[in-house]
Amino acid sequence: MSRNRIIAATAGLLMAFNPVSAQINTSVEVTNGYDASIPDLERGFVDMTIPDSADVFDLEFDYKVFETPYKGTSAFSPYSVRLNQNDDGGEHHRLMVKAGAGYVLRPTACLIWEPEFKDRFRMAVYGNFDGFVGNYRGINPVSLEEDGSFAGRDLYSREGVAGGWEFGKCDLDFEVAHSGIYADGGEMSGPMGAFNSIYARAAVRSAGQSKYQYGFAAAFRGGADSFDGKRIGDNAIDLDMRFGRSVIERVAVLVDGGFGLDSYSAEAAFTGYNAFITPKAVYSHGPFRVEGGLKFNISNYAGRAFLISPDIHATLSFEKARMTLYADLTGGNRSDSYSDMKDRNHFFTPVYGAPGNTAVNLAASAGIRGAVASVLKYGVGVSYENDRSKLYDGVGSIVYGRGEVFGVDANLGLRVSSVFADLRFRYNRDMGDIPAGTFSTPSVEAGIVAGFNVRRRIFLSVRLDGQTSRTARRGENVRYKVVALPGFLDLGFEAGYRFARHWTVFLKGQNMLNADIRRTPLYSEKGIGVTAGVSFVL
Amino acid sequence: MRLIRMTAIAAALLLAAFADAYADQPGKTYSDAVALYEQGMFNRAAQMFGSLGSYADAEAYSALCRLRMHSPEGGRLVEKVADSPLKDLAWFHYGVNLFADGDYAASARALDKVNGRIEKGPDAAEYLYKRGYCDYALGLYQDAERRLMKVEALAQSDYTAPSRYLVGTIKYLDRNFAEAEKWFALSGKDRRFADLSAFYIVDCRFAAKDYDYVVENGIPLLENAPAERRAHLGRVISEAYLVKGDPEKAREFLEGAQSLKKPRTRTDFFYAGSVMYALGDYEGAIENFEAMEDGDDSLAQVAAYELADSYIRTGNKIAAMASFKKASELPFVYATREDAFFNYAKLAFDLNGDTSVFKEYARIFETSGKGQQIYEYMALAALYDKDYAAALDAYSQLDELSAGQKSNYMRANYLRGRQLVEGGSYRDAVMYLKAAAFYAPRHDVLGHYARFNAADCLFRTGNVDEALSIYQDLYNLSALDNHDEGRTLAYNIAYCYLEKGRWKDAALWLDRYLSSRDLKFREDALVRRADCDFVRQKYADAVVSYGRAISEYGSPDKIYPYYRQALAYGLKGDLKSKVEVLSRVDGASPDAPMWSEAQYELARAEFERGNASSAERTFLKILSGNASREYEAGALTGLGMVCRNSGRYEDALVRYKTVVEQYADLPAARDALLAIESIYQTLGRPDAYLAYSDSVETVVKKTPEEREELYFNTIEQLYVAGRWKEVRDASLRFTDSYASSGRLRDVNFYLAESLRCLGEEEAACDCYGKVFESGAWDSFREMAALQYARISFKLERYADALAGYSELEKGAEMEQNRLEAATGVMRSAYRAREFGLAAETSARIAEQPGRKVEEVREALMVNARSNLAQSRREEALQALNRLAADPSTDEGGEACVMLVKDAFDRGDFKGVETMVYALSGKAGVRSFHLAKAYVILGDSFVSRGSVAQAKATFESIRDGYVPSGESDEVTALVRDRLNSIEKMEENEQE
Repeated sequence: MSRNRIIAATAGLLMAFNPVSAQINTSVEVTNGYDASIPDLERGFVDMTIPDSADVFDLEFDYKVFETPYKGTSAFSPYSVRLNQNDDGGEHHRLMVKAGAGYVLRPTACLIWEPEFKDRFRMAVYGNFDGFVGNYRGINPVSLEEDGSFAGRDLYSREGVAGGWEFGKCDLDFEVAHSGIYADGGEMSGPMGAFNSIYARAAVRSAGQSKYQYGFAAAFRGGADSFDGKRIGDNAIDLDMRFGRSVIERVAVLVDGGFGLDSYSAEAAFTGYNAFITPKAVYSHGPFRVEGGLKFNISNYAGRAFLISPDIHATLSFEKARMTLYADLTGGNRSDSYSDMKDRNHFFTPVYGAPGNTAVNLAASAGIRGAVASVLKYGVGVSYENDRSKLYDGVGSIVYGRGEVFGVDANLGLRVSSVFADLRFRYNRDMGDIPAGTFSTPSVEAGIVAGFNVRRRIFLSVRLDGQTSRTARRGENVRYKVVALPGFLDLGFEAGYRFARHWTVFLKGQNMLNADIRRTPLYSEKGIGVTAGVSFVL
Repeated sequence: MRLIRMTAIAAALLLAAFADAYADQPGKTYSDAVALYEQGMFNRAAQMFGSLGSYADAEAYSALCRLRMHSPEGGRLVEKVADSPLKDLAWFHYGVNLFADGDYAASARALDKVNGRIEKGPDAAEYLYKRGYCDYALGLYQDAERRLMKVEALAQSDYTAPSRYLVGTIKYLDRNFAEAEKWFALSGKDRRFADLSAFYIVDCRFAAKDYDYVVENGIPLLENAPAERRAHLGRVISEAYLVKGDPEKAREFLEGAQSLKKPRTRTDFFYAGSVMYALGDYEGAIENFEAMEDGDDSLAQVAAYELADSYIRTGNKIAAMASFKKASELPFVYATREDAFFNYAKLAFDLNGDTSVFKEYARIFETSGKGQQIYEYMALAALYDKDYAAALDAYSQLDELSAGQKSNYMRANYLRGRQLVEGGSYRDAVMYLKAAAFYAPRHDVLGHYARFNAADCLFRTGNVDEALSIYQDLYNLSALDNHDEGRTLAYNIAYCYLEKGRWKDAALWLDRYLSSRDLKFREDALVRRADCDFVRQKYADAVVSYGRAISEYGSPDKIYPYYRQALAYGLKGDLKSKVEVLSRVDGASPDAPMWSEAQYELARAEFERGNASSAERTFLKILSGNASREYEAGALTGLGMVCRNSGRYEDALVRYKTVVEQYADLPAARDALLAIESIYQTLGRPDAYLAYSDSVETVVKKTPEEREELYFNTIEQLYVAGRWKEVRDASLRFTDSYASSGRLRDVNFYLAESLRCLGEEEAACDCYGKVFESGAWDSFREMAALQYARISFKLERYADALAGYSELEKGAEMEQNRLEAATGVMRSAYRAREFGLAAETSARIAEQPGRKVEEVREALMVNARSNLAQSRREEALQALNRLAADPSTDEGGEACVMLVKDAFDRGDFKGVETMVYALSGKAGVRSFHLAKAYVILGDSFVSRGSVAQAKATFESIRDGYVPSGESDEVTALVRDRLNSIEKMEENEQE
């Protein structure tokens, strides 16, 4: 009820008690002017209802996203391929076969196979055949003058397997080979047979940086020959070792040692040995290095003999100038086996004499070597050798005697792009007398090799070797007191053309000057030789 | 210790020399060896050089041969060649060896030691290529390119194609794809690089976005490609297909690439996720996007966005919300950021009721378009929660309402109005009901309801004219005919006329109502109908009318019709009938309304009829009853009159003096004094009167201050006696008469109390507010604050309630009030959506010692809900878990349901099942909560695609559940879901 109506109602009530009513007496008439209002108006109300439709809402929740078509990651993920670079440019060939022949017939053949191995093992199987079939200059064994010619042949082959392992901390080498020499000089040489020898060698040495250094080598050579129906046998064993250790900074100690045994069976059979031990020290400081010690040798050739010789090597390097000064002092024994003699002279027979021992009292050399601008290499040195026993060539013989030689060496090498040239010059002078009947050392020995290639397709090299004459003193009571082997110039060339990736044709020229080349006193191949052939590499 | 190089004099040591055939012709051997070297037979050449000792360059050649054979001692060997013209060759081949070993840095150093002349020699191409490759391998692409271009300038060689290939690669890495492609085209002419170049060309085209080319040319390359390249190519082709819009093909090639088990990068996972997403394989998309490493780039934004959508589709809304949040934090694509933010806001509101994200969205982005959707969603969510006030608040932010929105808006207004009506807040309710009516079609039933109830509220708040207009309009429309509302329209209209004093119209409408035979308000209508006659002074008709009311509903305690009929009789002059009628209610209880009035009229009538003794008896009865002071004064005055008329002056004086002395504040006191004067005059004792007059002067003649004090005391006494109507009336008079009184605050308090007890709560609240907002803090203010807060809360004026409770909490002296204040703050803050304060207060209450168990439970629930509203799920879950320990309580049961809902929102459907079954096994769980949990279980079945199982679940609830009341929403929830399933099944059949 509103306040106003309350008040009105209250007022209405109060009016019931107004003074008029309070003074009512019975005679007072109540008028009809009664208050026209309705007190306590209290209306009834209907409770508020919720119709069904009030409770029905349209309720829907949804979550929508718009389409996000894939547009790429905008991230560049480059794909990198590592090219297999493990190729050697195809230049390490594994197989070479070469054969040629010409006139004068100097057949040549070569087979080399170097199979590829995954680890650090390398090996080459090789076979060479060279020879000469033709005329030799006839040489008067007394006067040593040319006198006619005779037919002969000198065929030489060598085949074998050589290889090694490089383990990083040490290297291992080996070789097993066979060589055969069939030389026939007719009447000059006598009834020669075929010489065959087998050779085996194994060696191991330390490699890389280490406090210790070592090396061991063992070799065996056995040869068999026949002359005039008689068998000749030759067996040689060589053992060498080295052991060293760094002691303090710049100083190390080394011990070298070796033993060789040679057994020769022919008419004059003998067994000889050589042994040595060389303790030495090494000192190195900056560009200077010296390795020195004493070599104590013992051998039983010509009776037991002791020999103490120096073993000193010194160098002083000037890195910026690329120059090295060197000096060496050495000495010692070296046995010459029958096989060595055959290698040296294919026409060697027991008639020449028994091989022996070369004993060097002292071999000294000093010089300078260096390079200029990576183009030129040079070296100049002097040398002196004093031998207690030295091998000398006689006419159809060998002699061991004392020797003393002074020498001067010079060499020059040039390499520019695809052009090369190597020059060597040596001056020798025998000091004192050489055994009678033996030839002196040539005064001058020189040689030059030069060549070039065009895009590795065309190859050409020229070689010129020569030496001055060698004289021999004979006895007093002979007609020819001094005989001489003439000096010679041996000119040769080799040209090749690689007409395909694997094929090359070659042309070789030997003794182009048709010189009388007497590397051994009694044999000189006659005529210019031109050999043509082909080689195949893979 | 620095080790000394102990150079083995190898020749001397190891020789055991097997001299070569031409030992004495070193030149020939040397030439042959050189020839072998040139022919590449290095091994044999090395052996031959080895036999030559230091002849010419034999040592250098020997070292060179070993270098050419790739000796591991290369470093030592080159030093041996330092003094030889072969030095450059040695370094070159050493560098080549290092190159072959892949040590490009060392190779570069070695190759740099080679004289520049080599670039003009036969090894130029190899040297430049390999040196250039070293630069490439070391990342020095510019230097590499410079060298490789020199190879290009040379004649064709084995290194021309690799150089071109490498230049192409450098361009490719530099992203210069057009140039790269040109170089690859050149290198591709070489058989060795054909496949690789073709591959890279495809890659270049891919980078240049030429996807058609990629597809056309990339697929044929796959067959012969090695595994790793196939993986990359497959991926490239897959991407091309995806961009072209063929996700199936994209997946086919992607799976092929993935099968090669290459380690996958972040972009790989992104791409795979994109493919899965495009194919609709959302589980797969989630797996791949989740596998991506964290990042803050554009990929991360796209991935987060698509990941969020994938989570939505797999039902994990909580994870979806986190992903949308992430996508919204990255700035790369504006549209994505904006849409992600919007979805994040929707989810935050959906899951946590947190509106702050919406506000943040509106702050950052334009609110047009999506902004309107925000409010729509907020409104929908509020409707779900039956928070109609919030829903209306949200709808009010929309510029235009769609048809569906209008419908919701109308209903929300109606229901909000009802909430306010139930709380007695009629003034506030009018606005909502009018709004509901506005949006309803003219003949809509709900609209009629709204208008009807609006009219009721208007009537209650005194807006009679407006109420009348609405009632009449509804009557004319025959609205709500079959409802109480329609049937009582005439009655309501009549009352409007009664309020306006238009008795004739009121009588007309009351007749209409009475003729309708509606019984709801018939009794009151009959009485009012008679009143209409009475006030129009048609007393004869009034007598008849009242007689009708009495005959149908008469009872002694319903005094009013009897009283009025008696008055009518009296006014007709029929005192006899008046007395007779009034005598019929003589036996009414003194507490019956209008008892005093009826007795007084009876006494007067009897007096007027000359039955002084009966009148006296009746007057005395008044005094012994529960009459108001006015009637007591009146009865005493009447007794005075009776005594005076019967000559008992002394008795009359006693009566009158009693009036003067005890009812001095009433006008009757003055009349009584006059009567005393008159009697004394009649008795001839004027001095006695004067003496008496002097003695009562201070009582009767009071100063305004004294009168004010008297009024106040009177009001206090009435308050203490609990006579609320009188307190109200007196207080109102006081406030009118003494507007500037210092006692006004206290009187307002009493007024407020009386209004409250009389059920006029809005007015009471206003009065309490006046007391509470002024003056020092004392017991009045404390009580006023308490009641103000309580009533404001009841009237849903939560902000006012919060203010009241907050003040009360600060200042209350009574412990009881402080505790209630804290609880009130919690409740008001929560209802006023001040969730931070609600959470804080509820947490405090939950831990407060001395709190009852039910208070703690309520606090925990408020805490949980408040934390959820702030998206603080973890804190909310803690509170819920505490409550869920006892599911037999309301809060515990509700907490269990909320925990199940949380599992559902996280997409943990297995967890939902487990929890619901566990809940059903617990003792004491109310069926309402269990049913709600099963509804969520049904929803989880739907999410998993098990529609049949869902349907069975809902049907079992529908058939087995008994609603606990009208407000039980379970029935509606189940009904809606079954309807949705039916629609789904119909759509599938179609």
